[in-house]
Amino acid sequence: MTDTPVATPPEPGDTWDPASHSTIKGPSLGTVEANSEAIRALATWLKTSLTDPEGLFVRSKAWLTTGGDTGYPGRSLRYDLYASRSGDPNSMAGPDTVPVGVLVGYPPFLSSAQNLKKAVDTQLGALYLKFVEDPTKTDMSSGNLFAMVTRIVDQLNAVAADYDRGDEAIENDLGALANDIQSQLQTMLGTKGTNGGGG
Amino acid sequence: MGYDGNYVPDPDANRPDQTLTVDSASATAGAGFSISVICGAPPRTGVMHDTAETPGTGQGIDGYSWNQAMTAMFGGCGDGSFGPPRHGTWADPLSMETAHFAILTIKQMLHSYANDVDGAKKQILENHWSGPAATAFGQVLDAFTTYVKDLADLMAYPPPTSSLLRIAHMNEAFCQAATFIWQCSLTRAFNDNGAHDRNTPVNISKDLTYTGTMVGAGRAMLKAYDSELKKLYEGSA
Repeated sequence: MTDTPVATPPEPGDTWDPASHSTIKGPSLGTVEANSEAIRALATWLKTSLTDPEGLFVRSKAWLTTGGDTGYPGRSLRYDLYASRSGDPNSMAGPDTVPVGVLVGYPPFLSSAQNLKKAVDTQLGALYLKFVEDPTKTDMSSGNLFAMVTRIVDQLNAVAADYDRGDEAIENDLGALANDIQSQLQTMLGTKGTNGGGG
Repeated sequence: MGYDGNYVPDPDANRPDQTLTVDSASATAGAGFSISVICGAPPRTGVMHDTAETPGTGQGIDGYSWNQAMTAMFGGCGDGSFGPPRHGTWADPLSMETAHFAILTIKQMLHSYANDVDGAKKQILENHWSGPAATAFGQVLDAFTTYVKDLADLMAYPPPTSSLLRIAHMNEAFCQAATFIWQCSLTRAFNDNGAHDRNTPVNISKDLTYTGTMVGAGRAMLKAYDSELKKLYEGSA
């Protein structure tokens, strides 16, 4: 008998530890004399987080597109190509362009593979669209995280400026913001069961 | 028989069994996949070339030819010429692996982000600020951090019994095993013209157990793969 053992050691990407690669530099409020300064510092941190190479937005987009500076040595997922082709992550770019792991070129052969690919693509494609700055999505109702943070930054800066003018001015600044976020939250939770996520 | 009618012994008749052991190991518990394959000599009694027809209806995977089973797992042209995963219509285990770690890492980053905002909010509110304005401020940030955390938790992954990483390793191990079976099934008789005998005896052990023929081995691997895929996103095994 001829024995041909093939041992495939874990690739570098297989040993990735998400816990040690997901640290984000938090806001440094320090010891502040006035809350207005602390609120402004938080607003500044939130604004910086949108473009910081080490921040949530840039790193998440990198994971979902080219791999960028994530340090992860695996394959690019290129959900930017999905989104730019269709504007809708539910509309697949097609395995001919961007395969994401599981073949769907022959759906009659294995529907479970097609279902898996669709579930993963839908989930990660939708997530990608949460992180990108989209000129057409500037209000809360879009659910776009970039737009949401941008609006909160504006309101927190207004709160900081009005901090010494009393409660009424600040309440006006915050206005319907909390309600808008809550509303978006309810919308998201209401569609939770239909996003293709597994579990 | 040779061209001149003289007896030509079958060159595969006394070929010893061939064995391949594939260990697609993972650093993540339960995600690796190991398989051991023993192939006997092709008996030259089975189908040598699959047709390009679609799978037989009503039989499920049991109606798949070798080529169809391979195409369902690895992609390509459906002509049996599968091999290491490639671009285009080929399955890409490495991208499954990336998707696996992208989900886990982004989930954690979203939670870290929400926790950072929450910590800043508490620090500000505990710095001698109370009243309606402080309450409104807290409500805005609470709603926001809840949104971010729920966004992370929408990616309900991985389920307890499988993962994209497991699928990737399974695909990788099956691909190597199938390539080996394909090579072992090649008959060397001069007039067989590159035929691969689907009746070639195959024994599979370790993470998948099967004894039978080449075509049956292809179906067994596909059934196991299909079962794992369903476990992951369809909630059933």
